[in-house]
Amino acid sequence: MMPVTKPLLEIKGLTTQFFIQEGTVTALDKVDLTIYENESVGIVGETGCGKSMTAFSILRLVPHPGKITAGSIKFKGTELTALTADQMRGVRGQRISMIFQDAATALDPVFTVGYQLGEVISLHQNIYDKAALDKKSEDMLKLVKIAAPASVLKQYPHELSGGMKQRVMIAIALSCSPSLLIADEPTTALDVTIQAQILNLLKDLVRTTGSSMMLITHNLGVVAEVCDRICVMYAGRIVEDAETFELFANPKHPYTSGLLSAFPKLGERKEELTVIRGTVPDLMRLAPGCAFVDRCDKAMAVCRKERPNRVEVAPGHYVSCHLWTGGETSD
Amino acid sequence: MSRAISGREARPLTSEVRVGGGQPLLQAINLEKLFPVKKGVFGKTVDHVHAVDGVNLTIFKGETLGLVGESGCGKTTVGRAVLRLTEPTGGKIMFEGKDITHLPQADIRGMRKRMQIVFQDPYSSLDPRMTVEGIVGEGFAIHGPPKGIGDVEFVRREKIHELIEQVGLSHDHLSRLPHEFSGGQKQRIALARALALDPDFIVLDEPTSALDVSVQAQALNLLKRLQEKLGLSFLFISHDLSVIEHMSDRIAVMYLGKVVETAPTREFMGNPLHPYTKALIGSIPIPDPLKRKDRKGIEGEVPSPINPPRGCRFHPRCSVAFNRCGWEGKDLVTHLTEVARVMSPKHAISKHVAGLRADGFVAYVDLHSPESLDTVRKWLETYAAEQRKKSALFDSVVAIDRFAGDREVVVPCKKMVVEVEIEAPGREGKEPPRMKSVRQKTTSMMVAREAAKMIEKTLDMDANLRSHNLILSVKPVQSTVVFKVLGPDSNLEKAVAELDSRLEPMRTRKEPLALAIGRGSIKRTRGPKTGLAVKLRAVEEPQMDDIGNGHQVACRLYDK
Repeated sequence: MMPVTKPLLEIKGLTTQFFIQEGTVTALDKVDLTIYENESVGIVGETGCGKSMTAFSILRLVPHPGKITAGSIKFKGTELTALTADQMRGVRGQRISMIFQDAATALDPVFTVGYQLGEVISLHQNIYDKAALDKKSEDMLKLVKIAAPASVLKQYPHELSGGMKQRVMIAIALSCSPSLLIADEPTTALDVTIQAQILNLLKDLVRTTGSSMMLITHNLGVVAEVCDRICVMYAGRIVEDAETFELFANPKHPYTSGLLSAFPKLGERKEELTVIRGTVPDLMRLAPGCAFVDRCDKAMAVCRKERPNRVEVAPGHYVSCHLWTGGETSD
Repeated sequence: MSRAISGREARPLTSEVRVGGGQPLLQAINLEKLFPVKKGVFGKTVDHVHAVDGVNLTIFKGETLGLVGESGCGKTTVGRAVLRLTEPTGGKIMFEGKDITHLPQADIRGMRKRMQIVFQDPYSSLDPRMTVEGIVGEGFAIHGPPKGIGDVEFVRREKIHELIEQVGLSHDHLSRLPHEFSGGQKQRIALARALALDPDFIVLDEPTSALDVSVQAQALNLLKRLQEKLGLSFLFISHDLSVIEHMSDRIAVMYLGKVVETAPTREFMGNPLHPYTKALIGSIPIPDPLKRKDRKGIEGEVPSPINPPRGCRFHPRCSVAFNRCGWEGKDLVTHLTEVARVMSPKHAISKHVAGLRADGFVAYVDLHSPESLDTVRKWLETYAAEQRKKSALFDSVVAIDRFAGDREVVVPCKKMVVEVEIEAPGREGKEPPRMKSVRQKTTSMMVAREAAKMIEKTLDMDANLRSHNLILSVKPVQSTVVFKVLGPDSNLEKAVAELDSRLEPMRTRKEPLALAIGRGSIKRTRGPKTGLAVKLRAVEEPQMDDIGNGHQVACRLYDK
């Protein structure tokens, strides 16, 4: 069920680099990604593969000494990379908002929940009347299913549990009805039972508010549960991009299939887990070819020399691997 | 194979399934670890965090026991307490049938050779200033060089090489420092260190939760291979049930300091019994979109371990809880204020009610004036009758009645001295251990604490007594036990008499606790003459029950 709606966010050839003393780290390497309206896209990958950096680049929040060095990010037809800092501020929080991994550090400990929620609403919606703000804040907390919203508004973050804090973060992110919600590992710091609650909540909210979601996680179970489409990232590149059902049924990239079988699945006990040998490569010294070549069992001569192009192997299923580009087989 | 176990409330574990015909290597019996909560200038202990509260576990030779639970359930504390890295405050730890609970630190150090631990965070558990060789070989500096033929230094180096190869690293890694390694490699170094002294038993405390999926698979496979090769026993602690299932022969689930279910892995996955286990399994997102389901999961959050729920600790979140699960006063107070909203000005009885208080299995309704007692009681009775059918909470209401608010029963307690035989360790190699008798003293305050538990259990919970479900707020107050009684004033005297008749046969049997408890008397206290209380059915915590197939579960649903 490929959505026939318009693209909301179109990223083409996005490259983000960090210039440090030892050299240049290419955190994102020619990333192509499109998110349609009313769609949930999952970004999956291991630590350091550039999942979070994609989010930071979209919001133009890349930390120093990093820079977006190439590529374009079009959001509803507007080129985000060309906006001034002031214009960008109008996008962040209002049209694209973000939920961070660790709600405990993302919330300011010295202000009440009500203040922090009201701040976002008054800033972007120009509501300054105290009563109206409180009313709106309370409605937002009700939306994220907080039982006693009026009393939570008066509380400080440390008085809330981890799950509650994440609910508050979601309320803040959704308070201006953004068209795109970026959730960066929203449940990683939470227990499984609370994770299930938060995921259900996110699913419901995306469905009812009609916004799109980009869900960043390392947990394949989470994306399988929530997302319509999944992008697999490795070493700053998107190696595979397909609809959820298609990806889990027919993984094409050796990294994707390796990742799927390395994940211990409940109720399917095996003697040994399938392993992806080796470790993630150093982003400062990437070979010219495929980044996965050193860990790949199906590597060919061409994999070392040339970087594979992105090809469509099935409708809506893209993969960057020489096995599918028609590169000659030789070992 | 049940080992004779003495000690409070300990029950022999009768149907533990032996894996590979093994003997129990490590047993935790009624293990308890309370952390004091201190307050005020003088750091007075006002309460305790019940991190581990009466845990029974057995680990057989050569098996992996998986311990799973949410954060804060006490699983890490169990792991540390069985190694005595934190001193347990109660219960017993048996290693190869030997009680190591009270072994002096010098002797426990010898035992540590055989019991090792791998910590969760490889980034902070390795000394950043030591080389890998120093880290792996540190044990030899303390416990003496490894056995072997030839020069001591040569044997030591050989052993370190062997260890580092075993965990999949190479010789040239030995001179490097921890920061030069990735997370997965660091965890391998930590494992090599744990293996250095040829241990029998290793506690693996979330060994892979800091690692990425592909590296985690490597680490898990390595652990399995080493276990097979070296015949190790593991206590594998994790919050990730998929990892636990993959690694373990048997699984134990913890919730708020208690083990609620244990079973062999296949039985556990095929037939989970405890509602918490079912919910836990149901909450795990499965990496297969075809199995996507709209899961219900558990509502609410884990309550505080400082004052854990009475009865079954899971009852406030349990979807199938019924009237014997231990509904408390605080559950009722929450319902009355948040659902029934009796305190909101619009409510019919709000003008009579000054406040609601909870205390154990009682909810007190404070009134502005005693005249309105009957009005409020009538309303509560009607409301409870309405709700009884649809709510387990109201189904466990046993009485709504007045009580003498200005009088209470005070039971004095004395200190207790008991002679016990203990095994004194002989000097190593020279003398065998011998038995000696020791006078164990218990202060009157501790007697009062035990007595309070005993009095509540006998007077309130015993259905054969007339005081059944009439005792309110049994509490140790310094060296006395204080409680109130529901119903007319004459009930106080009846309760005192009932308590005496219960204690008398125990005193003639010379039971030390009964001898230390004095005769109760009725004292006047401050407070309104009459109060209104709602009494809920007092129940004990569910104990682990055998279901067969080595499956044990602590849940009232499976009571015989």
